[in-house]
Amino acid sequence: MSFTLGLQAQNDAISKYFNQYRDDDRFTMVSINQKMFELIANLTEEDTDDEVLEMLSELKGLKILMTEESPKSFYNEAVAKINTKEYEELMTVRDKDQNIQFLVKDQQKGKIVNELLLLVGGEDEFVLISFEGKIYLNKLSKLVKNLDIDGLESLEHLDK
Amino acid sequence: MKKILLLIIPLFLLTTNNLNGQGLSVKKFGNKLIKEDQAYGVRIPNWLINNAGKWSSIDLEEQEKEMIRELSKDIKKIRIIVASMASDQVKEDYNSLRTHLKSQYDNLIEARSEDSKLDLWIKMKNDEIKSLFFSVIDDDNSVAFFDIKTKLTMEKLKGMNFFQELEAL
Repeated sequence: MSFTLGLQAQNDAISKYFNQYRDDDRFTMVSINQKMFELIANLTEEDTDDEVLEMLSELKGLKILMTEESPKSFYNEAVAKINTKEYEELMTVRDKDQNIQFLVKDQQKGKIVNELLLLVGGEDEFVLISFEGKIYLNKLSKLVKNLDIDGLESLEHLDK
Repeated sequence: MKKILLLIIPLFLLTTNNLNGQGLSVKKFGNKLIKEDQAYGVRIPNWLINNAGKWSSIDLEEQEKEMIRELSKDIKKIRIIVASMASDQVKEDYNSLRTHLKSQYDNLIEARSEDSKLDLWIKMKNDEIKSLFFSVIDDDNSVAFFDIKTKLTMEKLKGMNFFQELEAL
């Protein structure tokens, strides 16, 4: 019970952060809901990989926030407001210009996660991407390539 | 007893009417928007869509013609309104419309970039897509609105050849 409440509180933290800036002119915002993924899954070819189809139909939502204004301060604010300690760090890419953090929650056998949070903070931009649903990590980069949405390029790192 | 019934029935009707009428409906929003000074609108009825499908332009690729022909059979009507620099009332009406959409439709995509906001909503009944609503609203109150009523089913959409062909590209 307390575990469920904890998860809910964390989801609320991301939603709260997202809602804080969803109407802010400095940000580009994209929100794709479960129904859209269900429709895509329905209209996808029958010979598409079963796991990709299953993943599409079980995705509950995708939220993206991006800005090029004061990216570092927004990155620091996001890290402070969203308790990243509640996630397991899947991968961190750090170079002189930017940090990319891949954070996951509720891993099942290291292959499936229920939440994937991507935070990018650097000199040029701040990006927050939150995937919710049953996510097959090994299929994610393939799915991202198929979706072809600006801002998701960082997720192609998962291929490496 | 009669007096009580007379009192209860109007109250019941008032309550159910309020529940159904949360926010501005797509139709009412469109009717208000079209009255703006610089608004232009078009309603395309089913018979015209069907004929347009049959006569689809010779400039189009065969695949595009087929797509239009197949889709046009199941589109009941389309309403498009474009308004530039509308009054501030539009934003209030838009918020009211969103309240209605949230109660009757499923939000597929919501996106905003700089000064534009885009929304795509769908209303389904079982397997049938009853309505698709797409809107773009700018900070300067310019609005583009597309309301499409259909009887397309997911089964039919999935079976349309052009979807498979498009995916293969």
